Amino acid sequence: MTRLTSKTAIITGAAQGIGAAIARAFAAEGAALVLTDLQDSAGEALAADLSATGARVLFLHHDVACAADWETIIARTQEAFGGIDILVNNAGIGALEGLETETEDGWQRIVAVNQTGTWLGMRAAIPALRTRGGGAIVNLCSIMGLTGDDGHFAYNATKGAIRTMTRNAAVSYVGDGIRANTVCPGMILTEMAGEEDDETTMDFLNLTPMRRHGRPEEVAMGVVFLASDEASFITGTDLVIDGGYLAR
Amino acid sequence: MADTDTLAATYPCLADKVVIVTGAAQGMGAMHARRFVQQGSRVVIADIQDAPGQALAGDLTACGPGEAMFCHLDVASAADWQDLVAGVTARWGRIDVLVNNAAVMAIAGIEDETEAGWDRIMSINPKGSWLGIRAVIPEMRRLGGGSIINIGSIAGFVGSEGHVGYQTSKGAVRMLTKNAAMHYAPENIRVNLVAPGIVDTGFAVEAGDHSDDEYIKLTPLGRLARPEEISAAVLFLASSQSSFITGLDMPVDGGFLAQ
Ligand SMILES: NC(=O)c1ccc[n+]([C@@H]2O[C@H](COP(=O)([O-])OP(=O)(O)OC[C@H]3O[C@@H](n4cnc5c(N)ncnc54)[C@H](O)[C@@H]3O)[C@@H](O)[C@H]2O)c1
Ligand SMILES: NC(=O)c1ccc[n+]([C@@H]2O[C@H](COP(=O)([O-])OP(=O)(O)OC[C@H]3O[C@@H](n4cnc5c(N)ncnc54)[C@H](O)[C@@H]3O)[C@@H](O)[C@H]2O)c1
Repeated sequence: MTRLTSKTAIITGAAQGIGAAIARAFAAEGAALVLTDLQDSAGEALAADLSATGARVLFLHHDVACAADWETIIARTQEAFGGIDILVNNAGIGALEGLETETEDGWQRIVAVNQTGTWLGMRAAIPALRTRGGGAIVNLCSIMGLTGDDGHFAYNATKGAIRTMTRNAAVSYVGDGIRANTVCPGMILTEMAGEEDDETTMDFLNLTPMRRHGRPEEVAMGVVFLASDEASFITGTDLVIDGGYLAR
Repeated sequence: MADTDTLAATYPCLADKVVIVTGAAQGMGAMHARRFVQQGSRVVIADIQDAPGQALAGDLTACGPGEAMFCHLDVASAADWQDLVAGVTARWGRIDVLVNNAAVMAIAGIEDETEAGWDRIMSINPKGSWLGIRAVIPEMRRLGGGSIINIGSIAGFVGSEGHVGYQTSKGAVRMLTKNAAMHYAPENIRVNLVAPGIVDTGFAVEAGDHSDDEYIKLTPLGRLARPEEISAAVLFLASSQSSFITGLDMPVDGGFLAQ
């Protein structure tokens, strides 16, 4: 498994869930890793785990909504590994409220993390990717960036924004050899998605043609594919990993 | 950048799998067949062109580690499909992957297209893909799953001048993909679309269409795709690494559709 050998990747929100699965898959493919998250102890534990298997990995505390934090992350990554080839903007938060019940504070918070965080990450990383002669950006979007949800208003809004921001980056930086794509998971069993048998997840399951939830590892393999040189002609698109939800 | 001669990804799950690639005597189909054999798969090269198809099968088997056989197939013929499936299951006992790649192209627009031209393209591009899916489903069902990859095109997503038959046919292949994905998801048979941008096979240029230079100008990445870049997407979708992906449109288009 050497698809990412000699590449250095930053993965945000890597302490748990899909981010942690991406970290494991990238390590297995030989990448050097900077894992970032708000949750230090879980992040450090994962980094230690992966180091023990021989991976070159660093955990750094990070709030993706904070531009100054991004400066530090980029500088520390360059210091540790000499450059950056891949950015995975995975950190994200959910929102339950609908259009009428969402508060301004709630809206600001989710926009800050999901949308602004993704922009700040690209803005901070692109000069470093350009210096390397190119690279790959993978932004975690969602099927809820491509279609309407019942409720979850601000989440829906920010994921839609991630999709077009990614296309903007793809078109703007294609000349620098930088590819930018989204991965759009359907219902994946993580803490964000809730318990296997709660009502929302069951509703989702009924709308999923494959009649099951996805596993974080199944999302991670899509991220590996887009980040690797196998995807050298793929930019500005959405890799939907949803058990057929959107094909309905 | 992907190296032409080395294999970027290894998919151990594809070893020994039986893979049918239509239109595999030349162009992209030939590259898909080569890539699958490099993974250890057993590959059926199905095409109307017997001599190059047989030569390729011999060449790929000699290279290994998988093997290849040629079967004459007109994708528009249901009887040919029946014979093919019978021949493959007799020899290799299973069918795991189908790549509906064979297609023809025409540049005529609405007023220039003829009924014969229209019927020909519809009988090969969408009907051929439908007949292929229909033919392999029983074997995949028996195995408890499978992966079908239809080759669409960016021409199935956005309009261009002329190409009325080709565009309509590729739009139909796209919707066929979603229909089949829905229908067979509960049986773990995944059906996805790979939509190439302009690929360096001469397909578009030979049809009397734009020159390569004009196509390069239309592609943000500033070059044509190499066939192996399309194969990489096909292999990913054939492999168990895409186990939760079905009904997907996967453009491999250098950013063509993003702008
Ligand atoms: N689980 C799903 O069903 C699903 C579906 C579609 C999309 N997604 C997307 O996938 C991504 C990962 O989701 P998950 O299910 O693993 O979620 P999760 O809640 O399990 O993990 C998210 C991680 O991001 C971290 N994080 C949150 N805010 C942060 C911040 N400001 N800075 C840095 N880190 C922060 C959290 O601490 C956590 O470790 C998210 O972008 C999510 O929107 C998930
Ligand atoms: N080359 C491009 O720029 C491009 C772009 C987008 C999509 N595509 C699609 O990719 C696929 C492969 O294209 P290519 O460029 O390799 O084309 P190609 O013309 O080089 O190869 C097509 C193959 O299909 C075979 N074929 C034609 N009719 C057949 C039939 N009735 N039954 C069986 N086999 C038949 C031909 O003999 C040939 O070997 C096609 O589906 C095409 O529409 C190509």
